[in-house]
Amino acid sequence: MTILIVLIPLGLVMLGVAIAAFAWAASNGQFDDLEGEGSRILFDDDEPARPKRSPTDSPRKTR
Amino acid sequence: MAAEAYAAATACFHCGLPIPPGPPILVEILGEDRDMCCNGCRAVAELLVNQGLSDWYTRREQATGVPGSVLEDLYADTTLLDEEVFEDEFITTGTHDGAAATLLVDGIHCAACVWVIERHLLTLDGVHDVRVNLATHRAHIEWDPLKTGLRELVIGLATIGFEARPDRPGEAAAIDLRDHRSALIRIAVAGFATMNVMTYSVALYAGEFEGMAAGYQALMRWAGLLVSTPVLLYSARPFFSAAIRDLRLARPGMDVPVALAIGGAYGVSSYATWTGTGEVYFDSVCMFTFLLSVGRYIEMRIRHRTTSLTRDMVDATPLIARRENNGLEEIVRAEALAVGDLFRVRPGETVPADGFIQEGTSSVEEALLTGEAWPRAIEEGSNVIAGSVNIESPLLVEATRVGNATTLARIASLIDRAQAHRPRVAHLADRVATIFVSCVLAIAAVNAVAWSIIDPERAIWTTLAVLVATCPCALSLATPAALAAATDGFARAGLLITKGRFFEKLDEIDCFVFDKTGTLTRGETRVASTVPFPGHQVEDALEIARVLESDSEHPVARAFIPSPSGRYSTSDRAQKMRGNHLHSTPGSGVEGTVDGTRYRIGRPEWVRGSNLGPPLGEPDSAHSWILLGSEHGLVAWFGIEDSIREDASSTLQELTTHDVALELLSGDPSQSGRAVAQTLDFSTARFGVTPEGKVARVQELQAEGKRVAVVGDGINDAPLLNAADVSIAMGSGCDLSRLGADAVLMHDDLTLLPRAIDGARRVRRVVMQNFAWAIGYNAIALPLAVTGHLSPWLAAIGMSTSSLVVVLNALRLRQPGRGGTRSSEGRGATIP
Repeated sequence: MTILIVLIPLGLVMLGVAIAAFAWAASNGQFDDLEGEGSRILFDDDEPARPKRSPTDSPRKTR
Repeated sequence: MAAEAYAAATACFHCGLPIPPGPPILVEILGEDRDMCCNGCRAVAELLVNQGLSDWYTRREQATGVPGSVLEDLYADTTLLDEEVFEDEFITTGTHDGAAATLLVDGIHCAACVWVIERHLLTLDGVHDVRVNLATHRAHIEWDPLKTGLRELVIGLATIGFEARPDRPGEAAAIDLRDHRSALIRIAVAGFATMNVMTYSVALYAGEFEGMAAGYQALMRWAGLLVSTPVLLYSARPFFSAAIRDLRLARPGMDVPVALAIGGAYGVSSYATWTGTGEVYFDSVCMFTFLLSVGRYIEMRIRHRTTSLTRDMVDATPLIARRENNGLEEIVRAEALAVGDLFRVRPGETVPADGFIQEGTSSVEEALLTGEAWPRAIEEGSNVIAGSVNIESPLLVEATRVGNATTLARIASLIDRAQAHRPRVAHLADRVATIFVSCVLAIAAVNAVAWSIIDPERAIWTTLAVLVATCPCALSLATPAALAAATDGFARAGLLITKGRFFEKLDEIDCFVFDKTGTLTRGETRVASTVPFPGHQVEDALEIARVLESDSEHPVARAFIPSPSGRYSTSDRAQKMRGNHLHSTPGSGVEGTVDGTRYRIGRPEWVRGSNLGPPLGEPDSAHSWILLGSEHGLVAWFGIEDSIREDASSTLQELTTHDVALELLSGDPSQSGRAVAQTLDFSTARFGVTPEGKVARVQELQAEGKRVAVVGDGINDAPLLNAADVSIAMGSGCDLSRLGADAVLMHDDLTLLPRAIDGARRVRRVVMQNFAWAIGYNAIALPLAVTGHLSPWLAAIGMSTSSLVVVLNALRLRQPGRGGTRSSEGRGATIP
């Protein structure tokens, strides 16, 4: 069980890294819009600005 | 989808406005021909289809495109954007070495709007990057200043139906953003710490049973201490500062026992860690802080959403002013105006500062401030306030109050302050907390005395067990968690609750009072029928009426003007050239000369004036009728109709099943009001009631011991909304008076009303269940702790479970009721 003496401080270091990473992301505006970003991933599937789309290939998924 | 396709027959597929009679305007979207209300909408829709952006129609949540007819106005407003003053203030350097600016975009409703805006702007030449924030309605754009400019971007947004203006970053908004970010970090610190401390605690509890070497036990405890210290110092700091403030004001609320529990548990645990004796409660410290922070965070988000809405509204003051300088007009930033400066305001522009008229006669619309849509006539010496819109002719104004001193700015800061200081939601919980915390302290004291007689060694540990085990976590979460969950659920559905006691009060309502125009009806009048007198043509009569009414902001006048914004479009201005000496008599109608002939339009008695003949019968009683007459004789009758909202009838029927009385108070004395009351089956309805009369009626009902909820459109109902026990305003009314309302129906969706009543009842049930659970838990834990039978792991599990049960129970309220047609499928089928 001596390994705990290494593992617990290691866990603490990882905790610090996790908090630092989150704090960095939050203060750089990654969480400023919690509503729109969730849908963004659905939009990126489509090609941007394609001239005239034929009705058959328009995806019918909502939102 | 299906519902939208059906609705296409009556409502514009693009903007959702009713389709006027006449040849259909069709656009092929997604393989089907869709009806449009006007050519403006057709142009926008065709643009979207041709750019391959027609998916917007399937992804958006409502048929809420900005009507194409408003676009002309938008173009006219953008000419000033090329001015240099804009560059200094709004354009910064972007990351790609280009220019960058933030635009506040009106009309963003859902993620589909975000998508269409980003896609469309990226197709413009020179645009590097677009990021739209759905929550704040702001678009951050970076572009190459050599290829395009701010004005092109605003026009680009206008062509797809979004109105945008450069964003003036406000101090309050920056504070909100900082609060939001730091709240997230607080939650993250507490959350990550909780996960870690839990692992140590499980080891320690297991050690209780299996035995554990003292060295490892100390290691776990020290690790726990290390991890919980930032939680106490950083995450829990708001609770401590609030508790200190409460104590200073001698009004202990829930924050006091919360701070006491967190601080006490941490203090005891660190003492135990330091001395190697007793028990540690680090897991309780972290988890308690985490759960409470999440609750506070949800509360804060809802508050920010309401305040930012009001702020955007107040921000409508213009950014630039036309300053008069030695007879020359120069364009300066509105902030650069000083008291005593002279500035010009052209018709259709917004007044940039408070002042009095030096030169000119006109009328101003002050709807933003007074809620009165009818323009006020002004002349030399009259006062004007910043934010009002000049209607008729150019004005020269001397500034008396500028910048942050204007009436509008002061109202805005008052709102901000009121929202910041508004009472916290947990009224009942606060009262309970005060009693609870005194009881716990008393019991702990008695316990300490009793144990020091029985067994002095165990006295301190049992006393601390009492303090920690009876931790008020569950109790303090009982009400706020339920309210936050329900408020959030309804905000998603479109009912924005701005006052904490909304549900509490709504639950006790006996009577719902409705306003008619704009609430039960759309508030968008239209000419339903034209009956010309012999010798006159329908088209000619309509044309004359349009010219006469083009000057008026009265709801009736809007029936003749196809622009739903009620403002002038360029074409109306052109038509006005032919009408002279237009003069309106409030309550009667408009008089003026069109092509050399004097006309009057308005109430029949007034139009006929001295030309008394036998009384005329109105063509029928289905509409309100107004008359057009000239100096040569009568021209035509116009039947004005204000269509009833589709959901009004079903909503009212559903409300009656909720044991509430319904009443209609209408300011409109005409026949059509009665027709509406009849269609909607009102048992009590009053017509032609003055605003004071409406307030008196509500007070009369209250004197009878009834609790009255008022639903109004917020434009002229401000006093009425204030008199009511619960007030609900329609979201389409865009003015400051709706801020007095307890709740705002964001999408004018009346069906949310019965659901809100159901919601209020469910909130009460859930709060009661939560209280029962929290008190029950304490009733069991307290005797065990007092008798010294409560080991720390039992106390921790009990405390965590009791809090989690309360939170999970409250989360059930996030579904705002199984209301009507709008199921889990979402709001895709909504017809506004």
